[in-house]
Amino acid sequence: MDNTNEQYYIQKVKAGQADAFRFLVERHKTVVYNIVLQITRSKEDAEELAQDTFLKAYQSIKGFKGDSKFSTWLYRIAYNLAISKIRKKKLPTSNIDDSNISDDDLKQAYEDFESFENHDKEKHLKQAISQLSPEDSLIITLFYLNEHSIEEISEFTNMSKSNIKVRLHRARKKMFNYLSKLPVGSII
Amino acid sequence: MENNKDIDRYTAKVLKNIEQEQPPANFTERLMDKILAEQSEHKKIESSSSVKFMLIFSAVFIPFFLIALLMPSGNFSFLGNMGITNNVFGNLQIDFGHFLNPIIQSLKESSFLKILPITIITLIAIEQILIKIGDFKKV
Repeated sequence: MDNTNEQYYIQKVKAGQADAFRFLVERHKTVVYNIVLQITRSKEDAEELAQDTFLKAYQSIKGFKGDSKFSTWLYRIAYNLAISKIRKKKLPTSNIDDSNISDDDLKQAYEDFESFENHDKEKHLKQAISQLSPEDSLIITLFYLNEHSIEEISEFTNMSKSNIKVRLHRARKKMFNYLSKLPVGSII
Repeated sequence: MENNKDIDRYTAKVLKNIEQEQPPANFTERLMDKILAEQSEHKKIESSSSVKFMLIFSAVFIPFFLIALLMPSGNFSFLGNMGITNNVFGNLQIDFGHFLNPIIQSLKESSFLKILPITIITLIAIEQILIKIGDFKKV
C-alpha cells in the first residue's frame, strides 16, 4: 500500500505537479537528514545537503525508472552528496583503538551502560558513534536505528555486502570498546 | 560466533536509547518554496523565449517586408523640403535604386516569398495553441 501511494505521487511529480513532491519529502526527510548528518557531522552541512538531495531528486525524477525503490535511489543521492562534501573538506578519519573486546568485557560494558541515566545513555552513545568513521557510523545507524537490511545499505552506498558486514562488526566492537572505558560511578 | 551474536544483541538494545535527529521544523516548507520558485521560473523562461522569438522575428521580418514592398526606386533628395537644412542637405542625394532595384523587383515577383511569412506565422500560432491545450490538460 505504501509503495503504491508513493508511486502515485511520483507519477504526479513527473506529470509536472510539483506540490505532490511534498509527500515524498515528508516521508523521507528524516532518514535523508540522518544519512548526511552521520557523514558530515555538522548540522548546518546536513541541512544544506538534505535540501540539495531533494532538489536534485526533484530535478532528475523523470529519469527515475523504478528499477529500484524510490528510497534507495534517493538515499544514494544523499550518500553521494555527503561523501563528496567530506572529501572536499578532507575530514580526519577515526583512529580509535581497534582491539578485540572479550565476552566478559562486552557483557560488563553492556551492564555498566544500562546502569546510566537515560539522558547520559544517549549522550555517551552519540559520543561513541562519533568516534567511528563517517561510513561506519552511517552503517551502524542505518542497520540498527532505521532497520535497513545489509542489502539495502549496499544498494545505496555502493559498498559490497561483505564490506558492510565487516564494517558493522568493526563498528560494534569499537563502540563497545569506547563504552567499556567510561567511568561508571561518576556519570550521573 | 557467540561473541558476534551477543554483540549484535547488545548493540541493538543499546542503540534503542538513541532517537534519530530530526531536520528543522520548516525544512519541508523551505524546500517546497525553492522547488515552486524554480518551477515558475522555468515556465517564465519557456513563455518568454517564445515571446522573444516572436518579437525578434517581427522586428526583423516586417521591416524587411515593408522595405521590399514600399521602397521607392530611383533618385530622391534627402530632406529636400526642409527650409532650415536646405543649404546643407538640399544637395544631398541618395540613390537607393542602383543596387536595390533588382532585389526588390525579384521580391515583388516571388510567390514563395509572399507565402513564406504567412506560413511561418501560421505555424507559430498552431504551436502556441497546442502548448495552451497541453497546459490546460495538465491542470
